[in-house]
Amino acid sequence: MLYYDAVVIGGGLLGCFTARNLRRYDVSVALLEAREDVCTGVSRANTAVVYGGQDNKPGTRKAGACRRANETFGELCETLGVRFSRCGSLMVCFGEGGLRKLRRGLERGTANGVAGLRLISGHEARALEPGLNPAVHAALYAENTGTVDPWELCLAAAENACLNGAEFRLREAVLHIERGDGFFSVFTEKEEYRCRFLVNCAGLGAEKINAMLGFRDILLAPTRADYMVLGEKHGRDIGRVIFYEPEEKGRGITAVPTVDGNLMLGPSEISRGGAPAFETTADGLRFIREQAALLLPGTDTCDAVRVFSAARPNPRYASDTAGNVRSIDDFPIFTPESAPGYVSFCGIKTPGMTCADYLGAFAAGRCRDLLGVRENTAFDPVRPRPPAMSELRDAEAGALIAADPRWGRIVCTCKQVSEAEILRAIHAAPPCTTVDGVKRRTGCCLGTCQGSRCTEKIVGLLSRELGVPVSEIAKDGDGSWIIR
Amino acid sequence: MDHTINRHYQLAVIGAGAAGLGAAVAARERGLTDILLLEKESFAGGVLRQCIHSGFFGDELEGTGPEYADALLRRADACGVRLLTDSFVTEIRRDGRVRFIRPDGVYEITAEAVILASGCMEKSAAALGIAGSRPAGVYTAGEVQRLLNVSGRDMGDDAVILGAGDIGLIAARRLTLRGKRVVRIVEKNDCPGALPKNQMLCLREFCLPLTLHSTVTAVHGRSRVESVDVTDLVSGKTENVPCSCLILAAGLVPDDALAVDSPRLLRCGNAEHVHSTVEEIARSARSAGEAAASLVLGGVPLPPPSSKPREPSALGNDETVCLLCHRGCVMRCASDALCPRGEAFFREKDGRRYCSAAVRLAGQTERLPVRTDRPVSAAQRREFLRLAENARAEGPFCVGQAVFHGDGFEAVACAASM
Repeated sequence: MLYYDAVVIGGGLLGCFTARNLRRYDVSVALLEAREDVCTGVSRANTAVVYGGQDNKPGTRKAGACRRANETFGELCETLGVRFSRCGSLMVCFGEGGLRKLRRGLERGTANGVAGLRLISGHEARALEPGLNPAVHAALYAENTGTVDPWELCLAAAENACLNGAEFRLREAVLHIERGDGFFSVFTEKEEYRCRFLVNCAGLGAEKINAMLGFRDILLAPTRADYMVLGEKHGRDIGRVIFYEPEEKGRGITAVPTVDGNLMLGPSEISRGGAPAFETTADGLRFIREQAALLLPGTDTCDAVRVFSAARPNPRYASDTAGNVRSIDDFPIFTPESAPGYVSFCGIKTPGMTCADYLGAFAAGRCRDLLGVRENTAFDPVRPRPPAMSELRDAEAGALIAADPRWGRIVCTCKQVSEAEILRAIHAAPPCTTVDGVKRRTGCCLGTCQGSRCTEKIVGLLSRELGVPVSEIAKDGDGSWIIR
Repeated sequence: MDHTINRHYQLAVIGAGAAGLGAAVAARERGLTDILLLEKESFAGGVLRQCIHSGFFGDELEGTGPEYADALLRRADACGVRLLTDSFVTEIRRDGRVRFIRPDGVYEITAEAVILASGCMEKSAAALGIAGSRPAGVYTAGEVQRLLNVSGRDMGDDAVILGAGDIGLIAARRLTLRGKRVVRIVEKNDCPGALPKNQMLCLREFCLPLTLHSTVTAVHGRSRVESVDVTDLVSGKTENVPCSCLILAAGLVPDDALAVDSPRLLRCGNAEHVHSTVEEIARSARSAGEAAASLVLGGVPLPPPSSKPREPSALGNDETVCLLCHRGCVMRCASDALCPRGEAFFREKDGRRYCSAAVRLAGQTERLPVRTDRPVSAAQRREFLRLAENARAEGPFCVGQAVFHGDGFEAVACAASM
């Protein structure tokens, strides 16, 4: 049995930021992740948008959290060495009906205290974004919207949490939880973890974790949505995030100029059921192509470098006695009086990434109050950005190579990632054992060739550094061997 | 850091594959004396190293890719071209500056002319519009060739191949020769895009299962590929085909990420447009090398880039393709041949030809390409492949050296080995 003051279940954005914030106080922290790596569930795929707060109903938790989180997002990214582009956004419409929607958005945003919102004409919108369809009627411009790489953000939080002494325990799926007098016993296949404070950040598995403690009020109705990433030559097709929702029923898409210099399109119309989570569908991809052709007529979606599918943990309340199901349009944060020391982040979705640090700080604050602990004076919030050959000037790159020639061995030719960057990723904490783990940490395999030229080399490096045969190196999770 | 590298050159060539080596040699022969050839890998040769089939050069086109690379490299070496391996070019500037990274430093040189010979890339699943899951087990055909023929690795037993172009068919043949099952070759057009000779040598000779006017629309499987959806583009019907890997051979795109608009820069080989044969690459390389020499020595402006797609045509059941030169004459009767050798080839019905394989090197994972030293009969080819599968070659070998022998033939090394 292992004793910790606090245990976090789930190593996604919420889990990693919760673990990091808990370490601001004098508490011992373990993070339990079922998979072999962090950032493998809901957090691995989303729209990559840092929202301003104008989309949320005034008075909700979401509205307040999102605005405040947005205000400090630049500072957070600076501290964690994460690229953040506060590029602004345009919510566009094609007619009068849509304009009413934009006005409502402006009112909502103003009520939420969001600064930098302004309604502009279609003409002004096209002056900002020449690639927009000439039929765009008007747009709601929001200067605070931004974009970030969700993997980079999650892994930076994880690394900083580890650096500050949070213990990341991988391949520890929670099987059941028992409640004692003032403590929780969390059982995995390998171990029993006893803690006084427990945070449920289990993403799609959060409903099950709640149920292990007897809470069945919030249910998840997971949905999935497809995305498409276009190559770098389209990275400058737009300069701002573009949101579009049709006037009538149905959904539009979002177009994001990513920090990597790609253009990301999606999500497709969210389908319930049907394809398994994380599988894209031909219909979804066709929908994205059609919507992109409408929104950005000059953008050729044949230049896709990657398509992926995201899973969303949509929360709803368990049906009442009449059988009515109520969906929840807010963060359903759950802190039961019957179980002091338990915080459930079951059903946190958009703008969950924007608010991950804010929510983590909320959980940590409750822990501090409950356990009456002091601040951790040794906490270092800073995680310097790891050097990347593609970003360095000649003098800096030359100095690194002079110290270690592996900085001068380029492995991923599309994204100019050196062997030394891959080795750093493999030996960082939390550790990285899969090719997709290397991809999320270094940007390898994200270019046009999608790893067809470098995967073998990455497998070789993982095999050498971890001391296991190449046939045991997985792409993403057990059984996904690549070569043997 | 090697300070003798950073200086001005007459010509910088980026990429030491068939195109880059050929262009450097051609420029040297036209009078340029100061040529720097930059290669990102640790060895020259590019994809030639993994193309271990015959058909590249020689009196009867018996030469394989590795031998072609070896011969080109010797010529470049003999005429004083300076080759730098492990040199990754990050940027070409309009004024002829070339920045590159090596394990001993960051370099920037300048050159009167720059030839971009960086080859091409294979289209990924997303570029091909394939939906579904993204498990392990999706490879490109080039990746498969490298794994099987050079690295000595394996990627699964039952393959669906998307694309019946030259690379798809050659990969299908290699998989079959290595005891794998080609479940299906799926081609979107109404006839294979491969050269007639590859249709004959791969599809017909190995009775490979070809599905025309169809494409792979989705991949299924959690950890590894379990099946793919094959959709008929005419009827719209979709069939689920179980397999353990999907091999993508449905299109190449020039790798011209480094290209800039400059009067000093010329592309050649597959970086200019995708070519079908090494003969075409050699021609493109030669004209690029010559144009670079004319620019540097005589101020003659560089020609504009060219592009010439080949029209695919299906090989009829009653047709034979001559294998003796790059023309690859398609013959229904002996008089269809354009030369007496072709006529003789048509009349000689026993189907003798060269055969190649990659054999294990004792104590290593990497493999050594070998081929028969003469055209051999079908029975001899079977014997050759059996011997090759069981061989544990004890190096070192030089190109052309005998590795093992069978009944009436010798197997010779196509590349040097330690």
